[in-house]
Amino acid sequence: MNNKTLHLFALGIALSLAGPASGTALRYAEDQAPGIINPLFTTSMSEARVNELLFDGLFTDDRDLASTPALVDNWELAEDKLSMTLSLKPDLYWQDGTPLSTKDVVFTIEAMKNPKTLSSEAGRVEWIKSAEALSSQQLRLTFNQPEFQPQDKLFFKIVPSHAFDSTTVRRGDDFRTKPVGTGPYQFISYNPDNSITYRRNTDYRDSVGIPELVMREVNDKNYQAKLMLFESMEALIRVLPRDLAVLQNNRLVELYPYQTNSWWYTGFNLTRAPFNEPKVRAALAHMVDVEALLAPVGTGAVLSGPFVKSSPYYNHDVAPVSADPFLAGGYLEEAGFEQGPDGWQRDGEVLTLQLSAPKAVEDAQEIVLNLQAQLQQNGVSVTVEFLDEAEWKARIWRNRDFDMLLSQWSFDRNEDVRDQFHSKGARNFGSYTNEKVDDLLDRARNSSDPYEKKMLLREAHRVIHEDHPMIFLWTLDSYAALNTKISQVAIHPFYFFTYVSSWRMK
Amino acid sequence: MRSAVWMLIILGACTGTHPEATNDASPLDATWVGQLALNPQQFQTLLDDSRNGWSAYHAGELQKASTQPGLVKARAHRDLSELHARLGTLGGLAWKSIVATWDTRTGLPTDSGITWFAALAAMESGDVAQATTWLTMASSVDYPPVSQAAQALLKAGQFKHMDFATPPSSPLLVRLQTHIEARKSGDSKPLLTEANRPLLVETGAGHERPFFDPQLPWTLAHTHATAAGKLPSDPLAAVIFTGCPNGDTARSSTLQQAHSTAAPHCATDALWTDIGLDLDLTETDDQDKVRAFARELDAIIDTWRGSLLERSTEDGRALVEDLQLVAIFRGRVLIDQALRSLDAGHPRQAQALLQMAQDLSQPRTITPLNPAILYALLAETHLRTGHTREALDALEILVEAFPAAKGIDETVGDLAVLQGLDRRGDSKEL
Repeated sequence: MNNKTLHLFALGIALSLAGPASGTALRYAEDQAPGIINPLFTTSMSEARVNELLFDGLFTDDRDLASTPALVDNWELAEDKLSMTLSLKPDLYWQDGTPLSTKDVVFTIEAMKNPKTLSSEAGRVEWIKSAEALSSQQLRLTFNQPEFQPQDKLFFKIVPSHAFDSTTVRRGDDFRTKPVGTGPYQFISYNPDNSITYRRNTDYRDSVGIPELVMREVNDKNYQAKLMLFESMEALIRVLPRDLAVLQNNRLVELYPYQTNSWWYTGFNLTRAPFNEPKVRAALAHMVDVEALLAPVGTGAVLSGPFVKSSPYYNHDVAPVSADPFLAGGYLEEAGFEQGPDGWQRDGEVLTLQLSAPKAVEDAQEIVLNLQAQLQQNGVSVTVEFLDEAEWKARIWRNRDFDMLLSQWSFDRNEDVRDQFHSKGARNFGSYTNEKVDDLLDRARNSSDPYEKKMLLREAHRVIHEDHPMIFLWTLDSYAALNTKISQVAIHPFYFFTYVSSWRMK
Repeated sequence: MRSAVWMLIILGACTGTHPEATNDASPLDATWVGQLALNPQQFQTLLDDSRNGWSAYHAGELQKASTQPGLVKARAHRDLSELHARLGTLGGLAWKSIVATWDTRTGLPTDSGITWFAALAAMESGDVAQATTWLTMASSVDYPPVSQAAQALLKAGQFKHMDFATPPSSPLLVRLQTHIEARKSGDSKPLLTEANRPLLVETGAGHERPFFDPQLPWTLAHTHATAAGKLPSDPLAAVIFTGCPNGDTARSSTLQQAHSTAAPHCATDALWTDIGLDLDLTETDDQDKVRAFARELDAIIDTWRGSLLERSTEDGRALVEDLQLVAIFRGRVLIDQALRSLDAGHPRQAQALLQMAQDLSQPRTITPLNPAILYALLAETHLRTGHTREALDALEILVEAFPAAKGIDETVGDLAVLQGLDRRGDSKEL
């Protein structure tokens, strides 16, 4: 079989796997299927997107990104700004027919706050002191400190209390296989080909245009683009920069830019030697040629810290770390390492690390192998491992069991990096700790002055850069591709499907 | 590399010949693209005028082109004037939103010159009533450099009527005087050297509040418009690399237009009627309608391009292909339609047109296909639709090339931060 035949054969398989060919279903590709459907345990963008289909929050963003009521009918903020009273819209039902009530809202908040739940989203309700149902339609929220516009924080998704035994919710609860929400779509089935089918919620508060959605995991970006061009897929969530021009020139495809402020990084586990030593981290950072790693992915902007370059918080006085083997060697020598026949070593032990990356993301594999080669050329022994979704959640999120990892963070427009870099941050996998950074991040979160917040976070950028808890890589532009038969498309810059009910398909 | 292409084009253009007339003639042949493809020797006139200037202009290097001799200088200055006027408009929108958002949230700080800067932005944008309101507020803030300046400006009514017989003491009034002098003399250098620095840094709140000069883009729009003067009388020089089909449909440039938010448009309606395009884009802010328009335009242009290249000489084909003339024309047509949509109050429609105009092979660079005005307009559409953070993505591209964009970028950034103060950020993996 020659290369061309092999290629066509492979493409044929891919097309056959592209999910049901239906005139009424919108088929969309995700690099990685959601690992769980439960808003209390959301950690990835694909899970956040599913939440947007199936669930509702008390408030949501309107098309102009202003807070607008979703489940809420009306609300009133107390004069002291320490509490608010909310009334739910009448006649709201869960997709299983159960009426939605304030009991569900109170349950959701308490479940997220319950330490035994281990909710990855607990930080989104930590500012709420308590939630109290005043009636089936009315509830009161009290806050830890005065809140000027609390509705801006009430976007977390509400789950049905009747689906759980107690506020101690577990990842393995049956809900994950039978999720029930109040959103524009309802879950129908996990399919044998690893796709998921959703059907429109006919009881949704707005009319929902597209009858059915099918999510298919396709972790090969080349195939994603081909499936789109062959009309075996109606939507791609994220197109790689290298594929943009091809898709733009196809008359059946519309490209929609949207903004997730996201960046790739390799992070160190600072609880493990020798990565707890700043000089070792600095040395490893100077061994990496970030531009060369980026080249196969396409065009992007190389970063010097935890914000994208267009961010108001990006500190443009801080330059990205440059590849400099001589400087890297100097740092290692200062840390007591010396060059040996097997590379850098100290006290008879060769400098060795294991690099972990998500298995399902094709780009990650290429980046990891190139990164491994770069570090090995500089005298560091590197093994690599690719983890599936379950292994990743267990090893990285729960047990923090890694030396160095490759991943990507996506932020909404607020670009709050506290979870990643505060010593108490829920997403601080590497256990990075710096009192000054903690102070800067705390003050930034509590600041009421935009000029102050901007300066505090630019300073945090500088300090974090100097500490090298991560090697900051790059940011890529985000474009979705949709078939031209999809109309009235509006895309939320972070949650993507927020306005999906308005979409129509010819 | 680009120089080499332009050198080859010179050699080719010198030997161009007239092609045979065929039955495939299209109304689009009358455009500057069609004329150059079919009569490539016309290009020699431009090259004789200023090869380096037109090369820079084609690449989107407007500053460089504006310093070159010949007809291209006027075109470059005109584009720079339009660009800065658009940035000025953007600044006015941002300041208006900053004051409104801050006031609604906690009330404006009483020790800050925020309303001074907002007032100047409003005054430049033509909203004198709003400017007067904010100046009145600024005149009573507990910060003498601001209150004194505001009182003096209120007394004069308009900053251009101010009398500087006595040298002003407030640095804010000194800057006003510099603006007035720059507009009179056409020399903006004293302002440009300060463009990357804030005009005022307040420290009263216990931290710094840097404010950039909101008048800078407006003064630059003014000085560039003065330098541009009238459009070149040569029809090709007047329209090449634009979305205007030919010299009869070119936009005019006047000092007044540089100060107007309503940009002049190409007169293209007759051509679109001739090729069967529906141009009624202004009824509603409907993105699907303009996306359909752009696809229809693409289909027509694709067909025409094939026919045009067949009918062109080798030199004509080389000219069209090497300089991406058809793609440039298409992109500029969409940008021009986006301006119409913006002026009709349809920012979403304008945004869709701009997104379709953008060449995504180099989406974060100023190139022949992605001119600076594209990014300025994209930023404006984002701001007008509440997507403040996304406006910064477009502005970032302009900051390096245009010093005046730095202050606008910082101001829009301040607004983005302000709008998010009550939000709890969300982050996810991958």
